[in-house]
Amino acid sequence: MKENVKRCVKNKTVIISLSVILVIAVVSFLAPVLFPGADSAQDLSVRLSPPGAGHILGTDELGRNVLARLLYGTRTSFLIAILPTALAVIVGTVFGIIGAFFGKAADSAVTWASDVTLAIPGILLAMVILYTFGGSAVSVFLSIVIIEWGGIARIVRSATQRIAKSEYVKAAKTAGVGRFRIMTRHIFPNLVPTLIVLFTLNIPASVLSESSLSFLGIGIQPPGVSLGLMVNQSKQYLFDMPWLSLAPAGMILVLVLAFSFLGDALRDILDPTMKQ
Amino acid sequence: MNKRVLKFLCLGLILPVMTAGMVSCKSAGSKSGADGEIHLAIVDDIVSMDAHKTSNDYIVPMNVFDSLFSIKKNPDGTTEIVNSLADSFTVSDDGLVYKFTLKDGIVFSDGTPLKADDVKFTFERILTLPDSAQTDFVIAIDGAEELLNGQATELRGITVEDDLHFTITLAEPFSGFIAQLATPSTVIYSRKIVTEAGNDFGTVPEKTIGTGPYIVTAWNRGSSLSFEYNTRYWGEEPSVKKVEIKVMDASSMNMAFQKGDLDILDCLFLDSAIVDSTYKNGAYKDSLVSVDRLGTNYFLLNENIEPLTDVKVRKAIQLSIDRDSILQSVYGGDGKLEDGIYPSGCLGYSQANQGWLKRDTQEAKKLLKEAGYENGFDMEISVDAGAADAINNSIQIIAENLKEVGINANIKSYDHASWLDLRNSGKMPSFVALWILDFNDPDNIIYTFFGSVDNTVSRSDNYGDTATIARVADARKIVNTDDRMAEYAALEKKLVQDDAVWVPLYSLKHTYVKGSRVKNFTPHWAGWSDIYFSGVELF
Amino acid sequence: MWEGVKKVIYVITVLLGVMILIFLMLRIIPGDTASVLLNDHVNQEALARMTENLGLDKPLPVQFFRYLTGVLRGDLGQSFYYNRPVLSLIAEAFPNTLLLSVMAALFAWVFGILAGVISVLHNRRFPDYLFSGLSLLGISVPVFMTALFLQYIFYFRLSLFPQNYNGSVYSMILPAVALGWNSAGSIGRLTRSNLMEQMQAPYIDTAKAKGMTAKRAVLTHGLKNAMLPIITMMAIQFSGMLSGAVITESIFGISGIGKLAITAVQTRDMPLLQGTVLFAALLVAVGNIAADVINRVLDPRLKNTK
Repeated sequence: MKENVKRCVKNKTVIISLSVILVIAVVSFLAPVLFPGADSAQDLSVRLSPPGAGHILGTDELGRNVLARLLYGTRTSFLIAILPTALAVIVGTVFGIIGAFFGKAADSAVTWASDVTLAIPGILLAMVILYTFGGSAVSVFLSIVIIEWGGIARIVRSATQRIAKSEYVKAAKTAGVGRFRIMTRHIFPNLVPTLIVLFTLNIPASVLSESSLSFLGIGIQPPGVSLGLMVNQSKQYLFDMPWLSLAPAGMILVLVLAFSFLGDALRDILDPTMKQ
Repeated sequence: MNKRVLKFLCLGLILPVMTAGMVSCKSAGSKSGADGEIHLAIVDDIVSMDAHKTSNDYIVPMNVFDSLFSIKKNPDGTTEIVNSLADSFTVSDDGLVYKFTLKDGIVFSDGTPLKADDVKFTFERILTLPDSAQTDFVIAIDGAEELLNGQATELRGITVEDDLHFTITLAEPFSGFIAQLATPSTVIYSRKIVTEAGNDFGTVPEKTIGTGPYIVTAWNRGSSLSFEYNTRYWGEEPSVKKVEIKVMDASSMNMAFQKGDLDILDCLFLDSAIVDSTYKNGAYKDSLVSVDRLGTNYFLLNENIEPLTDVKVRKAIQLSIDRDSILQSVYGGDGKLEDGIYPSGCLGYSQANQGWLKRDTQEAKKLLKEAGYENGFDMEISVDAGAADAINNSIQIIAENLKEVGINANIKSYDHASWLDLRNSGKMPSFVALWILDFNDPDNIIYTFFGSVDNTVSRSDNYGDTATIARVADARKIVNTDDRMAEYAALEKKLVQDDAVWVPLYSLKHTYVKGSRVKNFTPHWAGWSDIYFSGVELF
Repeated sequence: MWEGVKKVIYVITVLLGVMILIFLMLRIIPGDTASVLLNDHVNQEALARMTENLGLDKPLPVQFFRYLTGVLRGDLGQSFYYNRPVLSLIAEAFPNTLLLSVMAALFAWVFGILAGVISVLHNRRFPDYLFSGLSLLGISVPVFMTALFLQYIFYFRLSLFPQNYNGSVYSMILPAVALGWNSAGSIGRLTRSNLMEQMQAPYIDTAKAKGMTAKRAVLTHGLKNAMLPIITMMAIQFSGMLSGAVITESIFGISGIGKLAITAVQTRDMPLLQGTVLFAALLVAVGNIAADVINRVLDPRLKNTK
């Protein structure tokens, strides 16, 4: 484990992408301190003013500060990418281990359940959830968990099976170590690198899911603010007032790229087998 | 991947933009109007082509069908009711018996002749169709209630004398009756065609046959509608022979119009800033066509929801909203403030009921204090997720205005269906909406909101004064027009100024831009988004 | 053969699971469909009559049993919004989605593999950076941004393509590129990394020793060996492509399955949403089976393992 951390620290891609992510995270989470209330404060006299001295990134259709909104929106998108992805990893891990470790019936059940959710294209599945619960952060959150858990469970299941077949787990079994103990002491620690990679690699998909749903107008709803919603609301001004869309679109791009690079690099270091 | 990849990545982004910038935007102005074909756009696809099954999508009823009467707008801005399928009519002195004669020789576009029996069939269908949306428009006829409730099998108020003559008897006198027969809600269907088409009527273009100037040739759900001139049309031949309507969003419309792929652009879909910069002050400034929309935008307050139950609270809200600022910023000043129920241009519009409402946050705070809400309160503003950007922006401004007097308004978004569901259940706390006249009579708007207890519930106003509700319903029966209008003005004052049922906002101008192939364009008389194709004249 | 039958039976149980999942999720909170159909001007009796007319007042198990037996008979129900059978709406929309997906897949294949090959042949020179950059953009830019951008450049600025799909194959090019770019990016990256690995393989040295250039060796041997994972990937991405089609169709005004689904959500048309999602799941399932078959045919190793 220590060695892995060392290798990560030495890897340029990891350091650069991680720094980018951290800087964005810190600044966007400081938004309420830097610009208290500025995500909703309106000044109709300066609506749709271009980037300039007073407003670095200009103002939107209600005269709100685009920079402030960008940071607030990034915060929402960040949370909506990270939290459900984390939950999806937890759910996926639990079911993946259950599938790999609790006999054939459990395995079939988990495989079947994950196949059911994976059979439905992500956006359509999200649309069903949004149909029922209405467009909101909670619905988007739920959608992302349901879309992503199945794929994660599959990978965790096969990773667990691989670990379970390893010599030392077999040795522990023959030594009479209990099932639960094998799981917590031997299998889970060996899964951690895979889980970190899975978590990182699923985040770009979550960012894109949120932005796509909000773009279609069925995700986050105003007066909430998220990157996808900002792109959606600025669609009309795309060509006349491009700063309104370029700022959130650029942020989506940076976030997705940073997490993809980080995920790829971590995978190469921590779990090269996953590439298959 | 290394840094150089990123560099090229940026290059990949910038290159196409630069190339694009160098090629100038060519306008497709060379196309002439000689082919008689126009291209239009709508934001949402229609639900049905059958007027009895929708109360929102009138583009087909208006252009493919005819009513007994139609509304003509005079050059001075006034409107009058003129004959359409009807050739003439007489009314008895008690205002109850209407005798009609149809124009002779009118046929549906498949050749089926129009008969007086078709009128009877149409009105009976409105009342017996399980999901009928237009019952309000014929409910005045004698026996309509019984047919609607299933107590009768026939509409006894209509008797057919022969193919051209029929008589309609009303249950009680109602001076707005002829105006109701001049709306697309009451277009006339053929008994033979509708019966033969069954479920295909209103859904299949070839089976949706009317007497109007156009026939529908195609309806590709979610994407387009096509029309062609009906060569059997009884009236004057229109300039436009073919119409193609595409479903597209506002930014696509904006692009398509500038490229010459659309002939008329409806500016209400665009932000006023874009309308200003691109159209009002650009090369298009001589191509603008404007009509005053006969509709009131209002912010409705539900009297059943605490603390909106208190008239002082409602009055405080009336005083807090900066209506002028919304009108100026969101709508570019294209309209006028309204202080009542009936919009400017509506019959019965009372100047005396205007000008009383001015923003006064001090007075609002004082009223809130008197009502016991010195520290404000929380309320919900419900918004339809599918609402236009302008509505969303207005609501966000209203929420900020309310914050200034201490009221914390949470904007809650519902998908279109849930929004309507909530409103119809009478439980929507507050919302911004719009009513545009179907026919030019104050009854059309006041009856819808305050004419019966059912209506006050389904509009979520829950107005509780049953005596006033009865007065609204009774006002219909006043035969003398001046007396009737005086009563409507009194009711308007009572409802808006004394009881603060809603915050009247404004009426808007409906502005269109016509493309280079369009010589003249006459929008709908009340400023509806649906237009008559025959109102377009090509070069 | 038996494996195949088992697989098909399994897929059917998965589809049954999809049906139950969707059916339950759509009925947790009932929305009032009747009121959307009537839109404005509604009165309470009209609403009540319509709810009864559509059977929305029946208990859930009854509704599901009705639905299930209907589906087995090929009846997906009646769309509330369009007032027509869902199956016939899907049948009308599917050819458009199919054309879009096939063209997008074609673009993804051609562009992805070409980008991968060019990158490898010009390793660490300009074409490599350009195509690697484009591939990277493909996987990181949301479909809607690509679509709006392409529409702006190639319709609004350059007038090369129509704004919306108008029934011609030509007008489907922009939507297909917008939709396929994402997959093209993945395929490009995968092709590149696979070929890079192949370059290290011993047979390349053998080929070189026989007098072949490295480039030819890569193209003749390497590409063939690199194909298999790409085919598998295409199958996996098919589901993602249907997701992307929802957005692409809404931007380019294509009356396809995705557009139907959006309409269904916006109008609270339960039968239509149920039908389109079930149909999409069916497509994904068929795609998976097809990928399985292709894999078995192409990869002799698999024949022996299972």
